[in-house]
Amino acid sequence: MSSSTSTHSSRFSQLQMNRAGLWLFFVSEAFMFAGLLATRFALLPGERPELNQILGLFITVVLLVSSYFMYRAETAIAHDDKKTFLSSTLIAMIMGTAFLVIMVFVEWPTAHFRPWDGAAGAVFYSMTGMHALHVLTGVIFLLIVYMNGRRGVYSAESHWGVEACALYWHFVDVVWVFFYTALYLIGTVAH
Amino acid sequence: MSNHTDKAAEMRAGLMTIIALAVFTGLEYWVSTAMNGAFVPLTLIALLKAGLIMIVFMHMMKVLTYTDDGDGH
Repeated sequence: MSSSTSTHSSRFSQLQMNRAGLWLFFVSEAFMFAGLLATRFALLPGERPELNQILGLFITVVLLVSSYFMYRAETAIAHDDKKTFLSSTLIAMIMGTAFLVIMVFVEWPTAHFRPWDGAAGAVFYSMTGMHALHVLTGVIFLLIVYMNGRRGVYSAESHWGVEACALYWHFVDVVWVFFYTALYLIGTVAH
Repeated sequence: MSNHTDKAAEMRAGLMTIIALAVFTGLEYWVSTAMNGAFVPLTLIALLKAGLIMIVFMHMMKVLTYTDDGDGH
């Protein structure tokens, strides 16, 4: 086996170990979010909190589209397209921030209940609060990747940081797919 | 040439995925209002959306199938 093949093989093995480790982290996080989902259905069987449906749909679209742009960013850097990588990462970061701002400064203050207002309040704020914390850390991660990208840290041959960030961002999006359905769509409005 | 084609194909896959996600999101919004928030169809749509994100955006198959597609970064 030649030296370059051996190097590539060990780098690929390390990359697969990195990926496996990150996915194991996602599995552990999934248990925590699944617990919150189970609590929601246990405390509000057949019902859902009264929420702003248009706002919920809007922020869901924002997060989904931000995920698309992060996919674009990762694909771009994998093919050494640094310009598309940077612009797409920036857009994903801006959209993620928008999701966070709208949730915390629009949805929360205008909701018909507070965290201490019974099951609906407890469920809504604990679920969206925990998710928002993950979105915040995701936005920070995106910022770090963006700054590193501007410094030329990443390339087609070496961009694990970008891949890890993208995977984390998509995981946060997957969580919201289930949380949005559980909080805004499933069940009839609880008064 | 092959690299450029791969990139175009991957970008196209991403675009098709987000379009599908938008359609499914609209569908689940409609199901919620038309079927009084029925648990089973809405959960199925959510699982479909999550599956799409994990398989396309998160390249889940790269981890499950130990395949070296040349991007040993």
